[in-house]
Amino acid sequence: MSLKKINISLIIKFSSLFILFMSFGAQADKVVISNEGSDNITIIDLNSYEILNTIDSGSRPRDMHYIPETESLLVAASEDDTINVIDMKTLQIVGNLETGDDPEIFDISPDGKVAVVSNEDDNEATVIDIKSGKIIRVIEDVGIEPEGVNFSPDGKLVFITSEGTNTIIIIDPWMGEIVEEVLVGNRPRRGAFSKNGREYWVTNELGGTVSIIDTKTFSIKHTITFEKKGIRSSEITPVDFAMSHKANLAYITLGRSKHVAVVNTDNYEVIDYILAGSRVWGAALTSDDKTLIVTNGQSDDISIIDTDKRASIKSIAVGRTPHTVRIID
Amino acid sequence: MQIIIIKLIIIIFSIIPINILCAKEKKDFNIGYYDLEKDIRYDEWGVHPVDIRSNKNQLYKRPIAGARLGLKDIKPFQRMAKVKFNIKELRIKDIESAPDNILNHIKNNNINIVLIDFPSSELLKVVEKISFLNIAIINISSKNNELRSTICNDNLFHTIPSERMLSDSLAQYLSDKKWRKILMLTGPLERDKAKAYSFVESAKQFGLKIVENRNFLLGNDPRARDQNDLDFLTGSAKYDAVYIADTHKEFSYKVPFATHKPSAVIGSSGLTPRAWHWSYLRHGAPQVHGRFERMNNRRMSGEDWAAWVAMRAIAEALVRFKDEENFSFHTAFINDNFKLDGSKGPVLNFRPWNRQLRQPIMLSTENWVTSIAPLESFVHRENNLDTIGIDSSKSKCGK
Repeated sequence: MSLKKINISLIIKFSSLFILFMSFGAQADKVVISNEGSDNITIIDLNSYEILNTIDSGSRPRDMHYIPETESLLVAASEDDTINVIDMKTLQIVGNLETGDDPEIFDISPDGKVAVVSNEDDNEATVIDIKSGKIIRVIEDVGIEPEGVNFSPDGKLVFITSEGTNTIIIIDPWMGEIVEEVLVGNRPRRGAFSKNGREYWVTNELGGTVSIIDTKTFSIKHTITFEKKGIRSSEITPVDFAMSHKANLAYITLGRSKHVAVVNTDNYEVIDYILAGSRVWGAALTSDDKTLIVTNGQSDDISIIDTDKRASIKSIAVGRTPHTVRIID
Repeated sequence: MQIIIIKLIIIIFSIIPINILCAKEKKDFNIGYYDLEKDIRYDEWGVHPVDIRSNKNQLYKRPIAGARLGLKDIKPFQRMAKVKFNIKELRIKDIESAPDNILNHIKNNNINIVLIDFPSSELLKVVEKISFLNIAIINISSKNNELRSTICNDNLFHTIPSERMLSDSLAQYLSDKKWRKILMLTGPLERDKAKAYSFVESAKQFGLKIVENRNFLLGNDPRARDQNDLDFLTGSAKYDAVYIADTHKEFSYKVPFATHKPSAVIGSSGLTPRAWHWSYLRHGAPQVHGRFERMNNRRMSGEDWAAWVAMRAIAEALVRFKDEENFSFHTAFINDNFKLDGSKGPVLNFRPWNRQLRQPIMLSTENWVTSIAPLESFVHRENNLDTIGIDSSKSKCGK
């Protein structure tokens, strides 16, 4: 009996040491989830799908980006009006970036030096120097309720989706100017560039469509619509993208319909619909394109999707209202 | 002399850019906004006595505040719509001359579309008077059911939900909870009776049983205690919920937690159906509410929302449909592709038969949205939003 006890305590010690080792070791093969309802970040092992750690963040954590050079995770803490810098080695908040009011979605320039964030309540975009954590400039009047932010692959322009104005505002973050404005569908939420940078894809949450903008002419070249038997068009509320790295596929989360659409990026055809959880929105792909992970905002869990089988293989309970998922691999 | 020449040069240079600007200036698009100086709805009724003394902002309930926020919010659409939006307001002193005054105002100010904040009887007189102009009129405050079912006018659109949409929402909730036995308390006003009648119709549709309908009176007269004392009013009956129809709310404020039997209180207090409530946290609602509250220092009401969303509807119709042949708001608003974002979740559009804006209803207490109607378990063959309100088969409009 006592031997057994010792064994169990040894196992516990060993496994906790192992977890400790994992969390302090190389940053590879991790999944990070921001839980906007419970103000924390869940860290999951990409191979075993075990929850390694849950760490406190600032209030209402939403968008996140990982910077490999410094092994740090940037987390927009909307209600704290800041971006937390989390050292992924020690899992401590080691700094904060100035952001202005209510930062929601942000992107990092291809050279890793500058972040651009949307300030939803103030109708502004803020350009931030990551190293010093200071604001470089603020660009005003980027539509009503700006949300999605994406640097063009060449780093020259930033595309911002404006939920309230139904437009994409294209800004030059270096000059602080608005370059162009393109009308898309209703309530544009997020955007993503095609691999070659020639197209900018936008989800229209209320329109239920995806608009594809030609990045040279700034005109709409195609609109993707979704249709699945048994799902009403009003349930189809596209939010986030995961663009495959090697294949010609785009994965688009469809919110209330609980499905993820698989779209061919060459001919814009919808190939398949994968069942996920309630209000599926955030999405990320592993670098080998084999695993898609999505956050389900209304069921407080994430779905792990095998992209070959095009089916969910596992769901993991995380914090309240999981928002963004990033994969570090 | 030299100085004069220099001055002249300066003047000429300062004029040139103005001329260039003028040439580029967008066409004015004028939105007429009409309300009444004496309107009992904007009296102190319904405002808590403490707020009457301390929070003066609560007294300025007029939904023009929502229209002004709407104007600010649709300014970014101007580039796409190629117009400049303006609100031209007129507050009418003399009810009798309202139709003539409004007609003249429309003509003199090149009004393109009208927002109107009138009680239903006065509203109809105006609608009839200006009917020949074929100008679209958006009703932002009258919830009258008849305007959506028997008295129809193709020019009249409604962004405020009807009484029936509100009472159907409550009935859906009660049915979903299986709270099926309802005691009704109805006030002395015509509008109280109209509210109560709407609830009776909803109860029929959603299978609720009205155990009794009693009339209440505000006061302390011991001779009328069967009508003013809550223990008498809510005693000797079996019920799951007490429904109150009280437009002025002064009586209904005291009903929750004071019924004879432990019971849910719904209607004018307790759980109340609303077009909008400040406590709603999803679908971009906090952003809209935040902008409103920063502008006006008070909470945003259902009428404020209806005025705000009417402004958005105007911009949306212009941006998406202005280039179509024979553009008119009448056809744009009921076009299948008209999609309006009201920050309440689903996409909104107008019912083609009675020109009522389809929309979810917030079932809320004083500080929380408990549920949103239509509830998930109620399904309509075409659009689930049509499970609340007067459906095409029950409306004489559009036929």
